[in-house]
Amino acid sequence: MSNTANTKQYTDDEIVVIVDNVSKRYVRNEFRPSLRHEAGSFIKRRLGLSAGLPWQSEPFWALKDVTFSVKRGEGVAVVGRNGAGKTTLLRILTGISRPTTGRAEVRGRFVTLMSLGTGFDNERSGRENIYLNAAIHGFHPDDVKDSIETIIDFSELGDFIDRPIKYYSAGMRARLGFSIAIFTFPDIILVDEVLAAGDTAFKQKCIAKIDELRDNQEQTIIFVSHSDEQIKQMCERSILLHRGELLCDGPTDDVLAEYHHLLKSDQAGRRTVR
Amino acid sequence: MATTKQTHEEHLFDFPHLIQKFNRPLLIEFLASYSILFAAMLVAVNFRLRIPFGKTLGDIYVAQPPLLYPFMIFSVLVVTAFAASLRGESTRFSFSHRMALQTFAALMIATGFIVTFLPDVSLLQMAYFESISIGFIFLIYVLFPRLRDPRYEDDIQAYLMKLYHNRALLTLWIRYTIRSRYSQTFLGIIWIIIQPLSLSLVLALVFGKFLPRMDVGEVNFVSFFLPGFVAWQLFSHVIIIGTNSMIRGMGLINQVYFPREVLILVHTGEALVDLVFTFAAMLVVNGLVGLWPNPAFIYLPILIFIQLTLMLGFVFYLSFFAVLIRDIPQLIGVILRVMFYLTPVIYPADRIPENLRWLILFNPLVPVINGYREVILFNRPPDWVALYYPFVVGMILMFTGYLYFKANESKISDYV
Repeated sequence: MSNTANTKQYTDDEIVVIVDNVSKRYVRNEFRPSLRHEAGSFIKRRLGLSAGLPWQSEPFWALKDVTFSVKRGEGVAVVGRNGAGKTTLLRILTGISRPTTGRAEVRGRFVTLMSLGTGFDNERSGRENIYLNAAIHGFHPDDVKDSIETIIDFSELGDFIDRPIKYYSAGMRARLGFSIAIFTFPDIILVDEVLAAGDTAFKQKCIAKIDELRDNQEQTIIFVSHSDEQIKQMCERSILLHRGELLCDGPTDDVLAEYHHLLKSDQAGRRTVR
Repeated sequence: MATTKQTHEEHLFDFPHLIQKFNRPLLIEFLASYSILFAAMLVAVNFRLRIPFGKTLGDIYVAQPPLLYPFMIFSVLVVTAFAASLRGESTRFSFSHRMALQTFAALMIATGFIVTFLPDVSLLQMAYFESISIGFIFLIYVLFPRLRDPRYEDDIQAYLMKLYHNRALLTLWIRYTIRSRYSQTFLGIIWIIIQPLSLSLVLALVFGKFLPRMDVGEVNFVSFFLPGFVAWQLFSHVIIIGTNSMIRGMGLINQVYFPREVLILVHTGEALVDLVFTFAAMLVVNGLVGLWPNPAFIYLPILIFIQLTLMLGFVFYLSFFAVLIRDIPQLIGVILRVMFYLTPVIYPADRIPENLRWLILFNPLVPVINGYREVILFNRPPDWVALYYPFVVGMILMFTGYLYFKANESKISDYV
């Protein structure tokens, strides 16, 4: 119905996220392509002087043959070091970017939280921004109308809700963004490290709320985080990515142990190299 | 894909069957063949007859149809060779003898059609047909086969469904942007009106007092200038803002998925709201010199629609080009500045000497602007034959541009 990246109908409605042999190649831009470079390289390629584009020095595989699927109601954490491809995976799931090879699919209405407060119009009030933000996530204002008071309550904004967003603090923006995401009641929530912001009390409140929703409505969550505590609290299953490859996929405790082992061995490896 | 082509081999000339199945590649091939023929014929006419711009072809052309054949065949060969040279992994398109047969069939049919029905057209109209055909051939043979990603069932229905699903985003966004814009500045709407008015006053001074030989016909200069300039302002504003829209929206594009054309449509909607105000201001100025709204105003929506298709068509291409190559917005700025003087906005088209009229020959905006003038100043319907060219160019640009844009949509965030 909503922002679905899928196009085909499947009989099995238990599985809501499919990642099938997904690879993503980024071409590292050595310098920004401009008309001058474009024209120069075009002539060179036509004359056979150069095989590729000059700035396409080395392709970089952000994801390599990643395959997994997520069932309805599961909570899956994606862990890995910086640059392991976690955010790339999330971007592909949401449809922001497409895989170079393979296929990724999300079935159902989902909300992406890449960073809180994206798409806020600074001049408009918090209330108007609730509608706008929900619309950016693909929800019609009518879907939000009933839960608007709940959103305002949950975000603890009080009278501020009718003031322009430009007067909000970063924490207030984050609270509003998160409340909108939760109370549009999506089937799937994709979260990218956004819970790192905001005060501890609000974080706990959010996690509790998500847990509650998952119990009641079989909500699915895919959660990218560096916080062991939050992962253990929210996700029973984890996926470990390392340099674009899926290293292991299983119960959170096992995967986290593997992840810490990997971190240690990496650090040890670095020491020996030095 | 292979199987459908196999079945259609037997129904090569079975048009109802083709249309019923709506096999798009095949249908497009047919259209492409026709376009090739038109183009070839027009090239031939240009070479053979060298008729001065604006005159009808008349008897000479009708008397010489056999001469067109060699030119047509040559032109078909050239295009086929060109397209075949580009065939590779990236071009998901194959040429076969089936293609050649089709082309030949189309050649026969089209020649008959041309000779029977089009004996009396001006070279201007011929040139229009020709340019349309060449653009069409390029798109069909070179561009489109490279676009589609076979892993996704992308088609125009799916795109439009997604856009319809996000209609609330579009309307909310337009409403908020406009409200922000008009609430923020002290004079609000006035700023949008001031630009055309001040420029028209200065130009009236220049052309009325400094260069008094400028003659724009039965109306005074300001009234003559305003309709064209209001249309031009809409055009250039949408092109500039639209070209920059993806770069400016990069923050949002990298964070959340929504149909990216929403960004373009928001800016277009905003520009159309501005148009309402500038248009109202123009009516007031016209009222001061005794030109009142007239019944011919009912033609305005058609003219605006044609202009809209043109603008969106350009913007769909340019906004993605601008992401790839960051020089494009600057280049567009320069081109628009030049085009402003090369489009008959501050002078009537018939003041251009006959031997220089090729400068405006391919400009699709010229008939539209002339149409606005006919309607607003003279209470006459626009020249429908002349509007055919911008209409077809606009529709083709908008349609192909939308497909091109959507096919490349997911690449935008990769080029940060």
